[in-house]
Amino acid sequence: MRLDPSILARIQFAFTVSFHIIFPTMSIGLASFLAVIEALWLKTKDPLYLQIYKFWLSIFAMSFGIGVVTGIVLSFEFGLGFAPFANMAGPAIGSLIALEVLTAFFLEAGFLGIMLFGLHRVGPKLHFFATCMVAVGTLISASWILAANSWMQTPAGVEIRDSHLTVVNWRDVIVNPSWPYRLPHMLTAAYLTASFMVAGVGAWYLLRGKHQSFARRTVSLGTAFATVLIAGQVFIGDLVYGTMLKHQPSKMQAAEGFWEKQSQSPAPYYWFIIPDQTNQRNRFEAGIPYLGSIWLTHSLRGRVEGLRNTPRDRQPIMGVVFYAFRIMYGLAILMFTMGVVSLWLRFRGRLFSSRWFLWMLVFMTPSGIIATLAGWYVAETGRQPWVIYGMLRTVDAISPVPAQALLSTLIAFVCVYAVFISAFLIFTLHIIRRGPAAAPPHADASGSLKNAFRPHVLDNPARVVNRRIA
Amino acid sequence: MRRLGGVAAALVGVLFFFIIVGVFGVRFAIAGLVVFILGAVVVYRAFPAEGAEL
Repeated sequence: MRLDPSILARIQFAFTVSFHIIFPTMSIGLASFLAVIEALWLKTKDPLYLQIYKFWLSIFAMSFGIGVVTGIVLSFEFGLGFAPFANMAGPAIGSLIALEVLTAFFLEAGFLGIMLFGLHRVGPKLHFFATCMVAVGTLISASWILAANSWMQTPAGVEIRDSHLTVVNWRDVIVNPSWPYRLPHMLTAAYLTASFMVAGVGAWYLLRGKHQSFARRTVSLGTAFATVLIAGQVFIGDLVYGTMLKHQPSKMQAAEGFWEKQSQSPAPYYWFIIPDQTNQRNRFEAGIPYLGSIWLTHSLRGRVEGLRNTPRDRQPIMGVVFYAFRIMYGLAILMFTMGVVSLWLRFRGRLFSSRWFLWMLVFMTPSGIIATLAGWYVAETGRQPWVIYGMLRTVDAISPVPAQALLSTLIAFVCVYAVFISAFLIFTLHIIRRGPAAAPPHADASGSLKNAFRPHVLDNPARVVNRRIA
Repeated sequence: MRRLGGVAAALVGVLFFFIIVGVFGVRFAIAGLVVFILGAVVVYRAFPAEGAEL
């Protein structure tokens, strides 16, 4: 069997970047959640908030660590697997990635230690400041990465001079046409991810009849944040859709599942299709009548443009974009429904006693991660066959690396990342099983720095303090 | 009555979703978003929920 290096390089990048994005999504969301929880603790002095903070801090720390490690790999892959891309795009996105390190990583590195280990060593206000700085660092990091990726989607501020890409306007490179919409879309996705995780774990405790106070508070907070956020996300998503329709029509044509230059009127909204890319038609399609016209054209009888408007050699693969978009959008509708139902149950006083709703929350725990992954698949597969939209094709961006080297490194990545995800799941499930009672609601100083890094102290510093006092 | 209430809540939810996704225009979408969020905050403040019986 002959292996195609260009396919292997793309599979390798798709695998590593898909794995990576799970963890920053969690850490961006959890960092801001922790900042809010610590602010509530400082304001109310309610020890329950401190218990929630300590419980989620451990899970945040693990997701942050894996996110950093798996992110470094991507920078190397640009140079090794996609050297022509790095060579061309380097003048624009190289600086953005360097700025991410200088502004975000340095900030996070400076305060992360205080956030993770300083609760018993520095004052509560300084600790809160450190938590806020880490949260701000994750936001800055996301801003630079989204600037780089959005520039690949909607390049601006550059010119090709003597076969080389030259930046003519840095502001246009950073604030490119899609960045102002895609950044809040991604940040809101991260906050939603954290909200559903928090609510889902709380719901699990309520169903098991454990840790009632902790569970009630986290279900209440998680559903409240999620309800407000999903409403904003639906609105922002609509703005992103409009922007991409203007700048990358082929992506949205593929996402809607229509082939004809103009669809029938009224247009249905397809939920299931079997696309035939070769013959430029659907073998089968099922949808809701009128809804396509109403949602996509904002009129009862509007027609939707299909993928045949884009020349064949510039079309993305419809099936992947369509189903990734349906997963993201379907989950958004489900999240919105959960938000409205939670409001209704809260109004009726049955938020914690409706077991079917609590089970739904448990099943929705990873919904934010799945929706974010699906959204990124829409963004990246919908941009194909371009790596820099309209400027550089993906097939021209791949390094002349032997297929064997790519295959062996891909297998190595799969093995190493399997260890990462197993370790993450084992420790996270252990923390959840152990429950918040293992994170006592105290914040006393625990002693010397030397003693502080001993495993049993990290595990339970307050216990050490109490033993000493005793 | 309880079922009717649930159906009414679902219809309000669908209506808000349609407004917020911009079906009736951006101005309505912004207004719908603001009303939804303010409404949600009012419910949170009026019904803190943690005192509810299990």
